Amino acid sequence: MNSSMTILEEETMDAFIADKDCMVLFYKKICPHCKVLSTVLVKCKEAAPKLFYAGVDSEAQPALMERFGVERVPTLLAFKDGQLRAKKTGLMNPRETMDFFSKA
Amino acid sequence: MSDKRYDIAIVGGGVAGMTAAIYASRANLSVCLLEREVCGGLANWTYVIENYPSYPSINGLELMMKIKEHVLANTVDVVEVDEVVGMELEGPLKRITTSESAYEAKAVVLCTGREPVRLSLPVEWENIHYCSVCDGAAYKDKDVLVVGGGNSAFDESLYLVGLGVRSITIIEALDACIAHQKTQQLARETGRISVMASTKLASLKPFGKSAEVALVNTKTSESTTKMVNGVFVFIGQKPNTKILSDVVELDGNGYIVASADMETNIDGVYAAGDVVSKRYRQITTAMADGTIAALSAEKYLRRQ
Repeated sequence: MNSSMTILEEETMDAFIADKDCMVLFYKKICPHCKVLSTVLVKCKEAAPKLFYAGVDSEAQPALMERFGVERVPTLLAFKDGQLRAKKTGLMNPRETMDFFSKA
Repeated sequence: MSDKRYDIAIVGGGVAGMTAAIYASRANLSVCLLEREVCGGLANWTYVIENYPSYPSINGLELMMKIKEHVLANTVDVVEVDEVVGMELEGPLKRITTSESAYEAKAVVLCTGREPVRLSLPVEWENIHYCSVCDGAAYKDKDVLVVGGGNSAFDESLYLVGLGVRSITIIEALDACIAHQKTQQLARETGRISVMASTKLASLKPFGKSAEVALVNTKTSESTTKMVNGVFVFIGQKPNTKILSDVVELDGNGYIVASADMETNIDGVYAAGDVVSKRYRQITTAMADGTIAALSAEKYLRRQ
C-alpha cells in the first residue's frame, strides 16, 4: 500500500489495536480500490495526525480475514480502546472516512 | 481557499495524463496533475496487460505505478483523491475547482478518461461487482454470472477461475463474443466457464447471498433462470465528461472533439486519451495523445 502504513500480521494485530484508536485497512496488493482507500487514509492522517492506521494484506493473512469476518477488499475496520466498533467495505472519500471513524 | 497557479493543469491521472505530465515537466513548465482517485485510470483495473511494448505481460496496476514513479521523478505536483467540481476554461487564465482546493493554469489538458457502464436493473444487490480482483475472492467454490463478452469479461473470468470460483456463466447480448479468440479458447479450456451469446440479463431477484437471474435469448425470446452467488459486470465504458458538457465541444456520444494536435474548441485547452472522440483506445494511443497534447500546450504557451 503506501510506504508509511504499518502492515499488521496475525502475531502483531492484537498489540497494535490494544491501546489505541485506529483504523485498519484490509487490502489486496493489486486491488485499485484498495490503493484509493489507502491514499484516502494518508489524507486522513494529514488532517488528524493523532490518528493511527494500519493495513492487513488479505491474501497473506486469511486467519485475520476470518477472525474479523472480512470477505472483500477494501474493508476498513475502526477500533476504539481495542474494541472493533465499525466495519465498512468499499470506497469512501476522506470526509466520509473521518465520519465513519468518528461515528464508530 | 487560495488558488495555486501553474503553467499547465492536467485533469485526470490515467496514462494519457501521466504522459502529458512527463512531457510538460521536461519542457520546464510548472505542472499539476489532478486525479479524483489514484493515478492509473482504467488500466489499474486490468489484471494482465500483454500489449504494452517492453512488458510481454504485466499487471495493470503495477504498470501504472511504474509510470507514476516516472511522473514523480519529474517536477510534477500530483494531487490524488481530489475530484474536480468546476472548470472555467475560457480566457488566458483557466480556473479549476476541486473538492479540496482551487487551481489556475495558463493551459489545461483534459484526460478524464472513461468509466465502466453500470448494470441497468431496477434492483440493488450487494453482490453485483465491477472488479474481480477486489471482490472475486469471496466467490471461491461458488457460482457467478459475468455480463459482457469483451476482453475484460474473459480476462476477469479467467482470473475468477484462478481464485477457485466453481462455475462462471458469461452472457453476451451480441451474436458472438468480441474478446480475442485466443482468450476465449483459454476460457473454454478451463471447463468451468460457459458462454451464452445472444443472451441478455432480464431480471435479478436477490435471496440473501444468492439470486435468481432470468436470462433471455435475444433471438428466440426463450427465457431460462439460474441461481448465482454473484454477478460481475463488464459491459464497456462511457466517457467521463459529465462535468465538461457545457465546457468543451463533445460529440454525440459525449467524447471530446479534438484536432490531430489534441486541441479542443477552446484556446489553450487540450484533450488526450480515452475521453477523446476517436476509433482506437489503447494504452499506447493514450500515451501518444498525452505526448501530443503536452507538446501542443507548450507551443501555445510559448506564443503567449
